[in-house]
Amino acid sequence: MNKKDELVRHILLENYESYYRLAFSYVHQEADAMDIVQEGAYKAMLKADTLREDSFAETWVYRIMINEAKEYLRKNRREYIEPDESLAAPEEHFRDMDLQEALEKLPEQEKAVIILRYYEDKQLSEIGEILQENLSTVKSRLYRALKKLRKML
Amino acid sequence: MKMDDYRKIEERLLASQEDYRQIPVPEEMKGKLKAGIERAEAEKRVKGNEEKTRNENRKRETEGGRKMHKKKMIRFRIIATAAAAVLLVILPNTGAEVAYAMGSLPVVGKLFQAVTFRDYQYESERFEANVEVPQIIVEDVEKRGEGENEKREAENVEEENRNGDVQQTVEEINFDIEQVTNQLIEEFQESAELGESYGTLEIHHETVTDNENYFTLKLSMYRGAGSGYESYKFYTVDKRTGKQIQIGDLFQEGSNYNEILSEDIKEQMRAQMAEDEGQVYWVDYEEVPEWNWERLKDDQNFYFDAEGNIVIVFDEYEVAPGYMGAREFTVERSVYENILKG
Repeated sequence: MNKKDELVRHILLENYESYYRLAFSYVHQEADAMDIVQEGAYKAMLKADTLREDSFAETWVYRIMINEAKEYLRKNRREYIEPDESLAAPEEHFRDMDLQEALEKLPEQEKAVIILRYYEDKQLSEIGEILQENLSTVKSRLYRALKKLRKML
Repeated sequence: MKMDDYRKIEERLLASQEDYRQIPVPEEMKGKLKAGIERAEAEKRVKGNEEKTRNENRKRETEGGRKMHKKKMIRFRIIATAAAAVLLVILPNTGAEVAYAMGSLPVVGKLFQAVTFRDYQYESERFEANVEVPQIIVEDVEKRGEGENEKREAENVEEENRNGDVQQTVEEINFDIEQVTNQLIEEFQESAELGESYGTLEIHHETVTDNENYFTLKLSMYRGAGSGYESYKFYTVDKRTGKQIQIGDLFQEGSNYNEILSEDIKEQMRAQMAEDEGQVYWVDYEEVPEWNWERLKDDQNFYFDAEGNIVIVFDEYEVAPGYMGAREFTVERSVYENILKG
């Protein structure tokens, strides 16, 4: 096993709970969230040797997980045409239900920025790497998201 | 928005971070994660081994002096005898069909056939293998059915001098098949003994092209454990030269066949995605640009369909997410006709 495989494997085992929560906040289903993380882990391992810089590995794995979650939603969108109340409802894990409800209404990319910034403690530059956007786009996205939340709450 | 409002929202978000972190992670998550990691590792191992075998074969070829050739001939003799034995067993049952097939064959002098050379079956509570390893055999059409085995073998020696290329090609292919499949069978046997990893192994073969010019054998290999991985190898022989060919050999030197075929395939991918959003290919895939499929590999799997069009075959994960499975694209003859070799 080469060094990059080892590194990616280590990162996956270290952070899988974060990936799961992230996936869960996209799909709101335990089984689906687990599938996403599993498939993401599989792809990350498979593609580990395409990783150019070791220092990018962590954000790179996040990116794969987010893409996997988005792809999952896209693939299953037709099945979700009739939104199931139990799926759309904010999670019972949160005391601040209004906030979660508002978060659900944000576009995917804006929600991702919020989760990464405030729940996963990521730097804006890291978020840029994860979402493949430059810093100013991330900043304006974050600002726009906060503005929308403010309006809704 | 006033700075205060901005901060208030931020504070509220940060206050709910604790709750986010309390989202329970199911116990099975770690196991599933490891299964995903292991699946990728197993796949890479298999790919690495195939690569190794290929390199070894290549090395053997380039090193090959007289000595090597002699050794190969001996190997071939053994295989030929075994294959003939298989044929003898099969013929009485399928006599009528073979006779019919021969009657309808265009006379090209050579009859290519894939026969099951090794049959491996295994079944236990959790493990199952259904393996048919093929070998290609080549015979002169008019010599078929002409007398006993020994005589045919004696003639083979002469024939080998005349048609050394074909026999050597076939032998190399057979050797490659043997290496690749032995590896998989050994891995399967090991896991079955230890009771871990892969539960299913399926290996099958099929003659997908057999026309005047080309013979193509398809080898399908499936390894499964919960979710499985299927891969293919296609071996194509040009009957006119007796050589094994790769996709590039079909086209004129210096032609941009790769760009032409790849562009046609990408267009087909785009059209499929536009038509049905459940179809996903790694083309124009902006999120992870390094995953985008660019062009055919030198040893890209392909065969010819009944109309003589090239069919390009991609393994699972080669051009699309796993759930899409292996994909085939037919490139119409008109697309590349003017750059075909004479």
